[in-house]
Amino acid sequence: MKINSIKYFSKEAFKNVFSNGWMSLASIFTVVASLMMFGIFMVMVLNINHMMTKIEADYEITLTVDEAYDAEQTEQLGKVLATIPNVSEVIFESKAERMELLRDQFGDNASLLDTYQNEKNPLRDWYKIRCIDLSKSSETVSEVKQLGGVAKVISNGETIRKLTAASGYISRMSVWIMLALTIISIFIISNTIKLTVFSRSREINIMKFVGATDWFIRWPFIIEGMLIGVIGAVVSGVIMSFAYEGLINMFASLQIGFVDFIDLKDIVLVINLVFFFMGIGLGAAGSLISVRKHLKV
Amino acid sequence: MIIFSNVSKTYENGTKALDNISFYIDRGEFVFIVGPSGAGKSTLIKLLMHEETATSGDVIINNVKVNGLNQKQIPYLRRNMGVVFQDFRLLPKKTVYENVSFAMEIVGASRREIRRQVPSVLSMVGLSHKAKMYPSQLSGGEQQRVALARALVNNPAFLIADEPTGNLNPKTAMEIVSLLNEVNKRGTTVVMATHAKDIVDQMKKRVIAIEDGVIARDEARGVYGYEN
Ligand SMILES: Nc1ncnc2c1ncn2[C@@H]1O[C@H](COP(=O)(O)OP(=O)(O)O)[C@@H](O)[C@H]1O
Ligand SMILES: [Mg+2]
Repeated sequence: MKINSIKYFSKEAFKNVFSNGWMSLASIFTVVASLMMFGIFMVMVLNINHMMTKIEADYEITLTVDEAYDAEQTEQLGKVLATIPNVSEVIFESKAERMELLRDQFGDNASLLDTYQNEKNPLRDWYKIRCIDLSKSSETVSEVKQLGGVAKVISNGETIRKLTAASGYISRMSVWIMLALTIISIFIISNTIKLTVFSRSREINIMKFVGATDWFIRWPFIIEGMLIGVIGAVVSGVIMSFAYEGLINMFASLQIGFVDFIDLKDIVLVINLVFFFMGIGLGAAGSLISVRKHLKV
Repeated sequence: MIIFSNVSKTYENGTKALDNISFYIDRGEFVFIVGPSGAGKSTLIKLLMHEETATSGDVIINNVKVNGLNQKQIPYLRRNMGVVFQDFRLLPKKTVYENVSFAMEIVGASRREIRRQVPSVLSMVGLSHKAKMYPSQLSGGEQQRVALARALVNNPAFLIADEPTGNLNPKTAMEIVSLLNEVNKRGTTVVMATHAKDIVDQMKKRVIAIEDGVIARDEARGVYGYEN
């Protein structure tokens, strides 16, 4: 494309956005509505994934060591655990350490535990292990159970797997919904823009008689669409960011422990970048579709 | 040059608008296409511009078979060919200047070329002083001059006009035709479909008369030959 033409196209696009003021406003509104719908699902999926990552990162299998095992044997067990392929981390807590932790938790009432010191400590040493691949945690659990010196294995892998499956399902559904929303948006936007194109169909006709190529006619419309898209993106980006902040603050004040949202500062850029490119894409695609059938002269 | 070789055109509804017509127009000629309403004049012009395609036969312009062009090549055919219509076909939201410069934007001309060429054609058609006006602010004759300026700004080899004086009063019509004659003298081939008897009779140019889709007459220095 020639520089002269780029200048011409941009000038035409800007003129058209303003001379079709109401229609541009309607198109911008459509873009905003589409992006907001899209954004709600996007933010939801991002947060679900975020929470799942955290939950999974916290997941551990706990196994108590048989009381009959002495210190050396216990240490040996730890080495064996570390050789299991799916194990990423092995953490040892002796019964003395565990008692200390318990006393910490009891705080002022720690004296209640005074009778359970040293030889009278009823707790057992335990190992906590983390998995590389959570989906294989049940295999790991059964592997661990077969080891000598393992008294008891505590694992909430099943619950987490169910959660993971549910969140994966929700994410996949959301992606499809987002895809559908995008397609629907393109058609709605193209229909809004179509009205302005229709009023210019005679002009398009004239341009073709003078020898304009299809792309020469399309470009101003595409740039106009992108302009509308960018304006829509900025508007919805601002609304979405504030709405998200509001949501976080609301949940923070409710103090629901396990709900852990992505920080505003971490998601704001994502929202706005996605909106920016989606807006440009929606506007350009909408324009392309709506100008298409007027070009057949 | 323009060659029609055994050209027929039947519209989709079955109307046979042109029936096996052949003629040759040399470079630099000025030719009137005349004939009663419905004879097929506009169809002939549309075939030249590739707005319609011939059902059979060949339309050849400057060694190019127009009916063999694909959709992508048509704009380039039209750039070599200024076109003027009865209804002017100006872009309503563009000024006189912009309507003319538009034809140069299409071919990707530079600012410098545009600034040189547009005022020059506007002055040729006598509209320099109205460059900033919009088509709706102009008389019919003035609008047709703008259309003419637009048609000429890229120095086309051909000027094709379909009833360019149809909406104008006799005096204005004559002015437009004088301009066409001027353009022709500079070397542009002019083909003008018309049923303006006075003009045809006065100009004494080649006349191709069409009746019911066939060539009834082709005279070097012809007259209109019909009662309007
Ligand atoms: N698009 C069309 N579809 C069907 N018939 C048409 C079309 N355009 C013109 N015609 C018919 O073709 C014949 C020639 O028309 P036209 O070329 O416009 O004649 P003229 O310009 O000499 O008045 C007429 O009978 C007209 O009704
Ligand atoms: Mg006609």
